[in-house]
Amino acid sequence: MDVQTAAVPPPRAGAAEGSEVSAEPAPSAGPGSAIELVGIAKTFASRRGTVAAVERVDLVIGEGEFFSLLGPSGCGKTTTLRMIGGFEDPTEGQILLHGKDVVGVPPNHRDVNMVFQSYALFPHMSVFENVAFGLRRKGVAKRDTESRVREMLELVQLEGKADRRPRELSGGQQQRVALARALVNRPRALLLDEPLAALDLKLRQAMQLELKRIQREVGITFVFVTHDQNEALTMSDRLVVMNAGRIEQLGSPREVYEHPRTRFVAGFIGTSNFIRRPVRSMEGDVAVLDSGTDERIVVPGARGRRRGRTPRRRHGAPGEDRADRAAALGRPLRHPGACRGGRVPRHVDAVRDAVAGRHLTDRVRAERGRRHRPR
Amino acid sequence: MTRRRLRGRLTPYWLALPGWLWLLIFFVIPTLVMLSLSTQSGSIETGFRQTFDVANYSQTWSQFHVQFIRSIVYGLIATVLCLTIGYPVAYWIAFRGGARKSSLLFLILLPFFVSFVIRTQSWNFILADNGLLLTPLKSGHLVPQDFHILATSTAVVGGLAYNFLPFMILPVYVALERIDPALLEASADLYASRTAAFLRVVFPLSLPGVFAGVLLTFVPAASDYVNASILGGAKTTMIGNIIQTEYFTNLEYNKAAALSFILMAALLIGVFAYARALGTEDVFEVAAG
Repeated sequence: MDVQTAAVPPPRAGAAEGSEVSAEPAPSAGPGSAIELVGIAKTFASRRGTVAAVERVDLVIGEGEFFSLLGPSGCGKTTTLRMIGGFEDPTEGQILLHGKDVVGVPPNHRDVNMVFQSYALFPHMSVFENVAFGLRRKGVAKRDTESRVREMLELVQLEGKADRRPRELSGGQQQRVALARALVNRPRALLLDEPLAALDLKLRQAMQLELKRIQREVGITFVFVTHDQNEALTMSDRLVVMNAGRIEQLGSPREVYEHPRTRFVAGFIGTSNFIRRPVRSMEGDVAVLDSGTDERIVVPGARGRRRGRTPRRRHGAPGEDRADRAAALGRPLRHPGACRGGRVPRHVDAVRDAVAGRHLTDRVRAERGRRHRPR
Repeated sequence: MTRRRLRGRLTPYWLALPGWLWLLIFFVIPTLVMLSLSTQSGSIETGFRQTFDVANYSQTWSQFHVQFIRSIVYGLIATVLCLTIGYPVAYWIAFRGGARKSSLLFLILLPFFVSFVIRTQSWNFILADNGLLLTPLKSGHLVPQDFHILATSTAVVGGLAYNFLPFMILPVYVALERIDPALLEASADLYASRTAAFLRVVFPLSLPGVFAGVLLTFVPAASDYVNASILGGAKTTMIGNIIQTEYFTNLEYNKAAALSFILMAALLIGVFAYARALGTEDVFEVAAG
């Protein structure tokens, strides 16, 4: 039987299970959209032609939202963020900041600020000067600058460190200076490029809460790039999971965790078992998989998403060899036999071993065939 | 136990010993010998005797202060030229060099593979009255027939700037190369124009390189004698030429030594004043990262 199993950590409290985080967000961005990406694509020239970093991304990020771009390295999340910030120009598409197309507008003329992964603090300036940099460039009056910087340093709890140089601070403190330096300008949106990646676990967790608190306090849209699913699930109102330059899924942490829409998301978020077997029959919401032995695998699909496509005719009638071949090829399987009703359950939340009656505490999804069609 | 610990603690000193010996034999002792020589009186015929006479200093100063000041001025002009030419080159290589950085640096260093004297001599050929540059200009009546470049201060300063340019480019390049490109993005993100980003971030962070480059250019340029003797004339004599003549031609060892110490003192005072003015503390702090 082609089963991959792995230990499954329970979902973090406040992330997917119950709690306000999953309750409040809606799948839509709500009324005011802060950032809109329309058909954004970015290709880079390399020695062997061009490499697509981002392919046709459409996204609407709402005003005041804590929005995460989550994905493995090289998935295009940072490129997407950098395009919003103006550090890269998209090859195609539009970027709307509060309704205005900003493609071609340099970063110093965009109303967003960035917290860089390396913090990029100016090493030759004091903490105060670092935080005051943006205000001074904008020509804010000296007295206002002074009071706004002090206020911001208070917000990030660095009141006493104003005269220090960045290298005299710890990583977490530097991180907060970077945050203050960006926020003091009161941007319409704050872009954060893996800002916690360099911190150790404990500090990172503390900073997660801290970031959340600050975001609530200032009420600014946060666009947060991370490869850490815990971070994204804990902090975000909504998130997208990206892979190979595309959006795999957009939704609230709970939706993404409990109803991964693609195999990639299921594999990337949490730890999942993938069981690849032909579907013998569909009994209501329950799919019965052929285990290859006398046992049957019963997959309750009640909580699975039922928006699967109707299998097309040309995939033919249920056939075990096709299924087996697909499994052997490591390709997901379509199981037309299960779909007499016209729908394939794409995701189901648990697998029950019908014979033993034992619960595998796991999320399992029936494979979706469209993208990985056996050829 | 204590013995072993003691030996362990002494290890760095033992390891540094060859270096210390080298400095002692080839720097400290010669310097002391020259210092003693500079206060001796006599001549090569009568022999030199130690008289602790500082007259050598006052005498040579009043005799050669023109060349002395000229050397400092030439050195300063050459340094400023090197900085204005070298900084943009270093900047371009550091930020725009991309994959060609090392080839570009190699090109900067390539002239070093030809002897200093030969390179300077080839400038003599180029700039000579009937040389590569002036012959066509004169035959085309673009410049007067008696126009000349060689033996002018332009030729000498130009030669100095040419010869010491890499010593400016390399340290400035190293300083610029160490600047995290994210700092440029951060300044753009924080509303700085390109000019503001350069003035507020890039230039201050490159100061340690500029400091090193200025020292590496100015000190040897001010005490150089090769350029003045190959490209210069009677009116462009530098203090290096005087020291050389006093020592090797006139065999006035004591005066040559006194002149050397005046030059050394002037350069050291200049360097420390410069470091002070630039805020060495800051400079070294930035250099330390």
